[in-house]
Amino acid sequence: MKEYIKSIATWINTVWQYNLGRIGLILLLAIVALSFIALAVVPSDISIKWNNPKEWAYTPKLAPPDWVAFIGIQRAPHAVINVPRYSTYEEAGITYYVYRAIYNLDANDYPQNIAVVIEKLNPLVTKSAMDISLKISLTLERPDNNIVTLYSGAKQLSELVSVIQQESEYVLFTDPSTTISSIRDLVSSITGMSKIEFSQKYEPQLTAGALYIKYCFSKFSLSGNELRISPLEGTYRIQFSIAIPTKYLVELGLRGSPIESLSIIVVGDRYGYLGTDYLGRDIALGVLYGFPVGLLIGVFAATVSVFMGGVLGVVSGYYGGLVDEVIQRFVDVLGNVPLLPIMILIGAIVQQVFESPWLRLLMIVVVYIAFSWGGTAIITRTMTLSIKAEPFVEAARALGAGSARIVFRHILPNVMPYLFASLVFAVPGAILLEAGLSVLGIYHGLPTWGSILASAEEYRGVAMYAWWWVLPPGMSMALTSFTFIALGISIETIVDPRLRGR
Amino acid sequence: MFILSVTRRLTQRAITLTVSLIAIVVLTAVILSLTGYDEKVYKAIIDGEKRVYQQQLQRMGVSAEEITRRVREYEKTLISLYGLDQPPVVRAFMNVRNIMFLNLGYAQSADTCSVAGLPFPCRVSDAIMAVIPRSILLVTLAEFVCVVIVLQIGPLLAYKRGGILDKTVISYAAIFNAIPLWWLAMLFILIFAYTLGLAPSTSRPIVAAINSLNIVEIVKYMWLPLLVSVVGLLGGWLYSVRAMVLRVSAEDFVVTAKAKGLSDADVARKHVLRASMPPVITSIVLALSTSIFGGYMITEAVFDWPGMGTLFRVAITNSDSPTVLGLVFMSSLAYVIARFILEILYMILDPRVRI
Repeated sequence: MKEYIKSIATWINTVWQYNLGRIGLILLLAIVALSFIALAVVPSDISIKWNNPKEWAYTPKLAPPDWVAFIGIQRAPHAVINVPRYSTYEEAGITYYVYRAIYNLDANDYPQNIAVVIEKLNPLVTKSAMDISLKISLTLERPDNNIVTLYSGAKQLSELVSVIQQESEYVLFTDPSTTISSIRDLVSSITGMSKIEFSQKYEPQLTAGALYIKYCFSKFSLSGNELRISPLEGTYRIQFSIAIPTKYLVELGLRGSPIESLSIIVVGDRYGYLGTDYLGRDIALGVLYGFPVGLLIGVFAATVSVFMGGVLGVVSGYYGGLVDEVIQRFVDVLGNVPLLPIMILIGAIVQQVFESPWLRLLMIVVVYIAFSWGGTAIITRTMTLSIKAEPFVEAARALGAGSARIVFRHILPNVMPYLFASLVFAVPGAILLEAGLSVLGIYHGLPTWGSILASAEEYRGVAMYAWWWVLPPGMSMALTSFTFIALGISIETIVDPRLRGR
Repeated sequence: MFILSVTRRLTQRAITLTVSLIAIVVLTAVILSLTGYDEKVYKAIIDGEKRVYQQQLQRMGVSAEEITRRVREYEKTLISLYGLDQPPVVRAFMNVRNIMFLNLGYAQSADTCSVAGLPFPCRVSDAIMAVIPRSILLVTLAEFVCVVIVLQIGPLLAYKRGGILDKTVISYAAIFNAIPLWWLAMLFILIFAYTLGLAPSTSRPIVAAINSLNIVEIVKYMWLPLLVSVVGLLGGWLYSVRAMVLRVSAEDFVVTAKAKGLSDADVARKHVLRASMPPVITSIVLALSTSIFGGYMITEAVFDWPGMGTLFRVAITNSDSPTVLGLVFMSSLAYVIARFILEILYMILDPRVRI
């Protein structure tokens, strides 16, 4: 055991001697560290969450990273405001609970939406079988002191309870028709444009793409007959109120608000460390998760394929004869099979036959392995043949050593370093193949670099200048394969002294 | 003697390649029938054929009842033709026949036909035949540009090992070896097509330009894919040229040439380059078949270049299984044929292999 550690230490030390090796080792350390961080940070049910649009309902869609603000790109900030406190008042036999949040728009841009997330109700309410009608309203007070009503209506308490039980939260978005009618009043009072003209000219397009939200955060001016809008920067006050007839409160035995935990979310236009994609998915999460998955795919495929190639190569070279002939012909055939079309077919079938993303990925990797061990087998065979002819092997045989002893004591130790080098070289292969298959439309469902890039390709991320969607996964992929190429080159140089510089 | 050895070698290669092709087809057929995927494929094919047949009958003005009756009869014929009424073992054999003769009926979606530039409905075999030349065109042109560039840089590499140029070439090769070409394509599209507006974002309309031989239009749709391919493929070229040039530089005849007092430029161009190019070219040309029918298809798909890669992607995303199946076979066949042709080329160009 001690010996092994010592020899590994010597190896690392030797690799460190080379510039390329040093870069490779540092990068490898970083990749492994990122993988562990990913395993700790990313939720374990990510494969389900990633593909469930409801999980990403109130993150910004197609938003650049948060830090673009520092380089002067004007994007509305994203704000998740947990509102623990509320004020309450009673009027005409109805008790109102009012939650307030402040949002500061400091960029020349519009937020994408506003949402209220009710995370928890008072247990007394949850247990009660009573069905009470609640009056709910959501308003936005703008920096110019005008108020826009975003939601106004009634909800049944039972609906809230059942949704929260099923999905662990209740999300209330702005209501288009309420908001638009409120905007109509606002525009006419600010610019003097008649309400009818506004309805006819602008309202038909407002609902599409939640464009009406822009109007909530806009300055208005008239140029000729046209309405001009531009972002209105400043402090916005958002107010959410929920009203219950007081008599029910007494019946429920409730003191205080029926809501225990509530957040007001202003869906901004920049988000997280690496932005979001078209569904609002956090790209940082996907890219980070790509590290352990990519490493697993690459290392697993490389190890098994090199092991297979090594074993069959040694067997082929050592025993010769019919075994050799069969294996070599088989390798010949394998070498002439175009890998990508076969993988595409397998991928297409796997997509139809299996449900679980992990199983799909496993099948793709297994088939890849089945087709990729040939090269290693040829090299190992040649090496075995030349080692077999060495005097020390002959001497061992003369001393009465059996095949097993010769293979394990003499041939394997000599072949091992080469196998190790080819293992390192083989790691990027499977990672790049998985990514390529994803781009060609074969989905397994896990967030990998390939699948993120594939969705950027399919959902026009490239067309929408979403560089944050294209660059990080691709760079992670390129960096990972560069790491292994760099390590492979330096290991190869150690293993084969002829390759060492002058 | 020479002719004999060449014939023997070529025959050997031909046999291996044929066996490989048969292995691919048999494997495909067995996988298909084992997973039951072929049932789905055939159902899709039969539906397509039925639809076309029905339209034909309607055009001929046959009565509705008659149409239903005839279509049902036709369906029965098709079911027995494709072996849907047979057990999976028998069907596996029929799969082999159907794949080999591209007996795959009509493409299932209009998108697939539009990649090929054909009106819907189109036959799977026609669609595939239409796209193969386009795939070959792009990558061959890219490799040709690479050769031209490498012929310029090659002699310079021979002067000095470890110089700035040498280091640049090594880093270039290492970096572009790690970057997948298709990702580079995405970046270039983002920059050149969408941000700068210098190129169209999709190359699909080139079909019309090729048909009308409009050179300006062809260049417009082609320059960006070509540029990306050259940038990406050049790394491999430079790396092998460098290795070969350095090996040749150490040979005796080069030393002799230098000793004769020839200038560095003459030594590099006339002696080193001339000796090192054939093996480089042949090895890269041999790799061409791998790139055309291998990873390069992904790059094609990113550019929406109307070749096999795009056809693959469109067929997969539209669940057009017959087209996918046909493409798998045709690209394998094209690959095997290309390998064989290039193998012959290899022997002509590189005298060392002839023995």
